[in-house]
Amino acid sequence: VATYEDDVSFVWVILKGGGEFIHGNTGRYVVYEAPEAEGDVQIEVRAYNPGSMKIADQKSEAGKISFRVYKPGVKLDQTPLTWLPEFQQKLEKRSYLVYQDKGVWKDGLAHQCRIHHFDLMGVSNEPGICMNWPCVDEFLNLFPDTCPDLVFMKSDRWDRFDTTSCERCMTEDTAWCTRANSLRPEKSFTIEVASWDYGSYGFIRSTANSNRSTDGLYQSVGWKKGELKHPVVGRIVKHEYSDNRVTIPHDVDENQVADWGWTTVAQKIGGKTRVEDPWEPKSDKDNTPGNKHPGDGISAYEEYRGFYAKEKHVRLDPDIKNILLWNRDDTDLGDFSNSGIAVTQIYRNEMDTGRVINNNRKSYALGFDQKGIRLMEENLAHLGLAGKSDSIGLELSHYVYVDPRYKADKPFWRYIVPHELSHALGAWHHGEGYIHGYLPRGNSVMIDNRTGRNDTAVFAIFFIAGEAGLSSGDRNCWMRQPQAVNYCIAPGEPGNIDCSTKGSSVDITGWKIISTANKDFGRKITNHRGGTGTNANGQCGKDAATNRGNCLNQLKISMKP
Amino acid sequence: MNKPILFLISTFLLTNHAVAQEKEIAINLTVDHNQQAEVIRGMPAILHLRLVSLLQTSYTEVLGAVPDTIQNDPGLLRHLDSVFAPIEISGPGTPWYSAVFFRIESADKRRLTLAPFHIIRPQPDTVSRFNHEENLHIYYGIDPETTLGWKPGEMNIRGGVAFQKDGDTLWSRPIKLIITNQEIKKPKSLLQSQMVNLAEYWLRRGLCEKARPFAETVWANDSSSIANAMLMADVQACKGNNAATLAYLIKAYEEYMRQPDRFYEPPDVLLRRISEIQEGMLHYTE
Repeated sequence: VATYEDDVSFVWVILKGGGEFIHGNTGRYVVYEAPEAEGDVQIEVRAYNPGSMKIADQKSEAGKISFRVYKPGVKLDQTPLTWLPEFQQKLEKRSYLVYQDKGVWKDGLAHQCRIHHFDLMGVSNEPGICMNWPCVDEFLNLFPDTCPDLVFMKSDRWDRFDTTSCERCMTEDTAWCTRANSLRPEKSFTIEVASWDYGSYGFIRSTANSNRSTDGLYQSVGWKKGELKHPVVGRIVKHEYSDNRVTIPHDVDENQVADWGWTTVAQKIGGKTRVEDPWEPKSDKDNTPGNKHPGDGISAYEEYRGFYAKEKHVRLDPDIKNILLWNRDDTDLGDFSNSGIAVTQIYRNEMDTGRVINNNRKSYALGFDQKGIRLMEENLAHLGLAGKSDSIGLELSHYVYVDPRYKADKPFWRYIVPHELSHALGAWHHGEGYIHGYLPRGNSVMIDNRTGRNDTAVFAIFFIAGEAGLSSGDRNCWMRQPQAVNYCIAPGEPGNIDCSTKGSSVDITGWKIISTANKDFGRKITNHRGGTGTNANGQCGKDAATNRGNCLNQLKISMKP
Repeated sequence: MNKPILFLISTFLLTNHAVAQEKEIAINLTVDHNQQAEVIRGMPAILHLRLVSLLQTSYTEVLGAVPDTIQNDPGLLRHLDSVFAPIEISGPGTPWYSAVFFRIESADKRRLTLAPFHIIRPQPDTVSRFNHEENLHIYYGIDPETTLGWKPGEMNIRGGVAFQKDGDTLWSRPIKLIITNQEIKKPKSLLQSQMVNLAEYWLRRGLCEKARPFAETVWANDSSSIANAMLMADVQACKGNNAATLAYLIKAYEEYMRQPDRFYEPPDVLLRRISEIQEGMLHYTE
């Protein structure tokens, strides 16, 4: 740099690369605003003595400055693949400055720092925190809220805005914010997003321009399709955004279910516990056990969002039919698991007073109330029964009862509980009637090739299997009623009566009957009409009644109208 | 695909089984199916205690979910063995419920003398093994004479099980008995439903003669009731009187047959009992 004697002026000239001097191009200092386009810049500065000088000016070489201008931007980390939304759970999201060098975005330079602005967008506001909690309970002041499920909580590290005023259970906070910004300019800033629902979903975006624009000086740099991957082969990235928004949770196919899928409690069939992100979140095609009534009334998204079961959150398997059960007395469910239906046991207040278990439905709702079952132990002596369901089918089976006095009879108990639960799910007996055979005093009947004479009662009564009646069909099926009927008409004897819908009262004097095991309790629910054991080959009770049997096919869990 | 499963298993083990095995058991205690109940002095109370496994799955199911490559891993198998090992509740040769005891406190936290709790029907299993699908149940009765001696007020009862293995005791949540001012000293003041309760209680205690007068009174009041006929049959069965039992069962059945609108479920227990008793009363010749 040359030396000048006294009064000196400077002139600045942009030789290359564009940009401009904000307050003119003269002076010892100038303010240069770089161009928006990336590129090399060269600036020249010349010094001289303005006006008349006492001595001749010395002309010196112009000074030159060269530097490179980069496009700045801001990026946002993807949500971790394995993160799943929960109630009162935090997720850290990092926003960081970058610059573009020859088309490649690189981590920010040391001097870069900006206020980071965050926006939560498209946030879910599912009622409550999962499908069945909380139910409305005025006494306990419980109610399902409809506040945003993803919010920024209060902090001394960031300011928050865009407040929704809304009450939630289990907190006194009423201000829920979906916008926030860092308090200080930072090169990188990590903010916490709070999830208040097990099925939360939405987007988060960061910007680094004061007006929150995505395409101002600092570009909100979006993720490219090629940078996003779904863990399941064949699943495509739904959108490539021009800004840096990412999904919460990681959900590149944007079906509102985490790409990672989820885990369930082990369920009977195969012990399978991993569930893949479903293709169609509104589907309800559960097909285990398979029958003509697919589904369990809970969509795939709802199975993912899950339920409170005895105060613990569980997510369910959308391939397995699930039924929620309030088991008041911890009754053993016997062989019911052989049905393939998965039972999730809940407390009484985890369904409403109408047994509805999906009151908190919204996203991907199927449009109808789905109900659970109430099972309780009661003395049923007044009915002469060991178990009963209020009705056939889930709609009107308000209660299922079993009489604990028979609990000690293990083979019976493991049959009667699934038998009654199956009634509640729509299954009927194999037939409804039996032969009421009466034997007047002094008369005889041939039982197992022995003559039995009634010497005592006015009438002895025999309950005999009638064709397609209560005890007909497959003896392995628990919908067959074994214990009411104790006899078959001996092979080759006339007198069999159609008992498919009702019984018949008959004087059986002189009949030949054979005793049959009335403790032959079925241990599964089968899917055919054909008689087995003593009912095989057209003997005894024969096949189940027309439109009966095929019991597994009758089980209908979904309450889809 | 191995990684997700491994993750799952490790999560499962960490979240569910990192604690002592006894913690996988809950003890639930109820009175009249609830956490609290009013007890009229002079009426019985029935407590239902059960041990419930909190494991949601079985050894086989967990192992089935593990990748083949680690199914024989000794460390994993040891861990699963410890989680799913049979639980020793009482000593060898003694029924599991010998380890059950109760702690009674009044509302002012005074500890009260243990009331005589009687094991009533249905009799509990004697085995101490149970799993995630099968719980252990036991019913205890408190006799009317005992409740008659109680003062009005409240008392809390907890059920506890002392485990043989390490002597730890696991307690239930407390149930609350609210002892009312009302007391019943004379049968004449009993309601019909109370007499039924008393008869059924004594039958569950196995004391037929104590049940009989209540059942007979109920029957005398209404002999067209299936429930009353069944109750009389139960009393006679308790006494081992087959002919009288059968007679009452048939009366109940006749009432059932008279009903114009019958329930879809036939009275299977009634029919079975008639058949079983009657078969022994026929006169057979070859």
